[in-house]
Amino acid sequence: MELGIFYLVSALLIGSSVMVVTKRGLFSAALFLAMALSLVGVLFAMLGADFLFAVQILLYVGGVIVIIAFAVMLSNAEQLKAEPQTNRQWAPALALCLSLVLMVMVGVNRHSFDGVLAELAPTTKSIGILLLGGQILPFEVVSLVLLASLVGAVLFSRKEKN
Amino acid sequence: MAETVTTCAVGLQHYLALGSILFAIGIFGVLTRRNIIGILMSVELMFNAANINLVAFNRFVHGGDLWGQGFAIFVITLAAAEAVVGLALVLAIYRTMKTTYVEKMNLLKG
Amino acid sequence: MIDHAYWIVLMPILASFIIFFFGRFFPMKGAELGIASMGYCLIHSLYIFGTVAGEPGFTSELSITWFRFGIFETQWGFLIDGLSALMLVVVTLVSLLVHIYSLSYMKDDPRFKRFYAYLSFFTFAMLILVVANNFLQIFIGWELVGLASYLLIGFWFEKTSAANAGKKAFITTKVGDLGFFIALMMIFSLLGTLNFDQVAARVSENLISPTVAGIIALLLFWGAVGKSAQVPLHVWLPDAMEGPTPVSALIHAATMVAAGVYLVARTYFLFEHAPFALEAVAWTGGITALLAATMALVATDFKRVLAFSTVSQLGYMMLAMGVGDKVAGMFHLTTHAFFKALLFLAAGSVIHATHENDIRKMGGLSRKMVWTFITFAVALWAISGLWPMAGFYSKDLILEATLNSHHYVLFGIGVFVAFLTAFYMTRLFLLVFVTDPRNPEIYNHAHESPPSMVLPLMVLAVLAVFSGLVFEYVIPIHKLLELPMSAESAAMAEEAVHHVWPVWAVPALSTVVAAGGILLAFLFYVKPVFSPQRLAEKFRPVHTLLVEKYGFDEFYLAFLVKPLDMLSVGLAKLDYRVLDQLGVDGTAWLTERFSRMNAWFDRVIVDGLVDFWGALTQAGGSIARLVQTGWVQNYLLFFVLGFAALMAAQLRLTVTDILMLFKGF
Repeated sequence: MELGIFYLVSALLIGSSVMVVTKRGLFSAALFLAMALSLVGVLFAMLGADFLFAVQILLYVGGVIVIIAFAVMLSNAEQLKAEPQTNRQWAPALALCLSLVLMVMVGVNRHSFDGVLAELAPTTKSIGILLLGGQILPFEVVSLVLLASLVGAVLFSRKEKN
Repeated sequence: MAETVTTCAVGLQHYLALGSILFAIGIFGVLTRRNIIGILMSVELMFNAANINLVAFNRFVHGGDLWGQGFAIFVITLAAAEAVVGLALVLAIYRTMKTTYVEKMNLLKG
Repeated sequence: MIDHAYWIVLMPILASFIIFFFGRFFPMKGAELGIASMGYCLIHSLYIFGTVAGEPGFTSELSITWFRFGIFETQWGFLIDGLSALMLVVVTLVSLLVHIYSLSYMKDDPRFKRFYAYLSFFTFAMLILVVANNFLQIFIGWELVGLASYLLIGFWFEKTSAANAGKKAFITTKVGDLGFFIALMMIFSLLGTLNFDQVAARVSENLISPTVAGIIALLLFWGAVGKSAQVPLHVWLPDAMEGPTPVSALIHAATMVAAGVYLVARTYFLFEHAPFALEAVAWTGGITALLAATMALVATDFKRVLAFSTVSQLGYMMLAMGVGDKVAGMFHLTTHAFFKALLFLAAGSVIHATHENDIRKMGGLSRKMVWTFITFAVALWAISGLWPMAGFYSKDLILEATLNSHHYVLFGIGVFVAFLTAFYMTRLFLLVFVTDPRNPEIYNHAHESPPSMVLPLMVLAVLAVFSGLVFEYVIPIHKLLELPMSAESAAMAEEAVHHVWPVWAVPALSTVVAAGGILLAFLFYVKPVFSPQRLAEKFRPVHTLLVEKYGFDEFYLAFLVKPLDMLSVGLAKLDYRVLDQLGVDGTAWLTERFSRMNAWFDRVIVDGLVDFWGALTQAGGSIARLVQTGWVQNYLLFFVLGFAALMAAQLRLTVTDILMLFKGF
């Protein structure tokens, strides 16, 4: 049962991500990206990371996709549906990616992962404690990064003063 | 090979395989996409692939705490920040060059 | 004064030098300098002669070392003895008279100054020869007089005939000089010295065999044959008459041609050591005397007759030397110098007055040129050997010597030549002075010569008259020339005394013969009892033979000159074809070819190699450049490619690993 769901989800995921990278129409690609990201959230949920699932949907789908959609619409990307969106080195890239996948799989196969299986439980509280406890440093640093990116985004999108 | 594939149970390898496929697709998109926004989207895919890996490992190998997930949160945050800045740059470029095609952005090329 | 005898030699060369370079500043263009220096030389020579004559057997030798190598040293020597003192006087006296004579004769010549420079130079060279005390110095003087002769014969070098004559003289005497030089080398290599005294001493010690001594003597004589114009090297003397007459008088009558005789006299010790050499000398002299006299019979050029006469008289001198009487030879040399110089100067006087050399166009000049006529007559008397002229004593001495040494054939030849001499000289005299003028223009134009020309004639005439008597009775030449006699000559002298013939026999014979010759000439030319033309026609072949001078010139031309010419042309062709064209040009062509090849090689292969590497680098660069696309996604591709490669290496990926992946399916 679980396996079936997994396969379904992964099939959809893979399908939609392929769409993302190949669709001519950027807006459609963005939508597909939304779908893919949502499915990733579902995966998170299957892995027992409920908080993460929520964060994923909120931030990615609600934030990043929106921004991407803004960017798509603000630029002329939509009008270029007629032209091919993949450049001329897709063949070597494809081969490379396939080989990468294979190599990772081989590596994974060789290795036996022994470890402690996690218990499935609600994670929100634990993550909260973790964030402000063990991972306080990255937490603070990330806030700086966010500040920087805010400033940068504002800076870059300002109109030139003539 | 370690006997981690149980009968019909989703194991670590599944998630790792999925993650690597997703990652590869993302790389494909980065290498192939002509449009800069498309590249940014592919990068998002790559981020997510990494996240899947992190959470999977956390679940199957590192069960004691939730460091994997916490790491994944940071990744998401950073991905978002990066997407913001990147798209702001795209808009700025678009205003000057009137194009979003990467191959046209070669002002530094001698 | 004798100690400073070298001044006699130095004065002329200094004068020559100054005249040549600074003569134009003098009023008489240097002639006065020449005359002054020659006058000084004569006075000094007379002084020396007087000193030597006073003490018989006197010798004084002054040597200055010239250079030395090892134990051998060469010297500049000034040997004064009877022989050289006599020659000094003869040379300086005749030279002075010629200097004075040339004042008028060469007056209008544009190269007047140079003439006097040459005259002084010649005198210098002759004096070097005369005072030499070693073979090398005499050879140097020998060559220098040869040079002077060449310069003076070809003095009017615009005339091709004169230039050719100069060349001919030089080359012919050079043939003789070759013998001289070989003899010189032999003496040095066999005896180790070139000094006369030392050589004489070593020869008398029998250091070399008589045969070798004879060979050396004959080689030396060969040099004398060239210089003194004996047969067969006599051919240059008739042609040498192209030069100005004063030159002919000085060089080719009195002095240079006498050098050969002087050489034989000086080196007589060698000849005495080898009797066969003396025989050769005597016979050469005799044959020369005869042939030359016959050629003089038919000559029509004034000076040429005199030239043949000179050759003939030189033959007499050699004859005398050959039969053992060196004194007679030197005596005749002295008297001949005087009367032959007189004859030539008189000829010059006539030629100057008539501007003509051909005696057939002259005649009756006795009325127009009195002094010349008188002096010429005196000379004729002398050369015919009639008493009391100088020629009588010297010629008779020779004939006596021939007879006393039992050379009867040579004696006969000598007598016959005396007859011929008288005849042709009288013929010349008659045709020029006595017979009626054949060319009225020339006759009318003729006039006596100026005093500077007549004066030397008179001086010489006096000498021609009295020198014989002087040397016979006053300063006996026997005593004067008394040189230490070797054993052989003493023996010959001993033998000579025992002669069968009465003392008056030879003189009487010679007088009769001479008178007969003179008379015959009168009969031919004054009272035409015999006609020379008819005689010539009757004996046409003989006449032609004599006119053609026995064909010596043609013989040499055909057998020596022509082959040498062909050889030279052939060698020149060889030089051009083989050495120049094939060799030099060929080498150049080869080099050019080779360098072209080299250039090709350099261009194609070497440069090509260099270019190839450059091109290779360029190609590599062009290919490598392709990596620089400026396209970031391209770079990313490589990046990922590299990553994948690294991963593959790290995993040590094999195909089985990949296949294992699908095991689960």
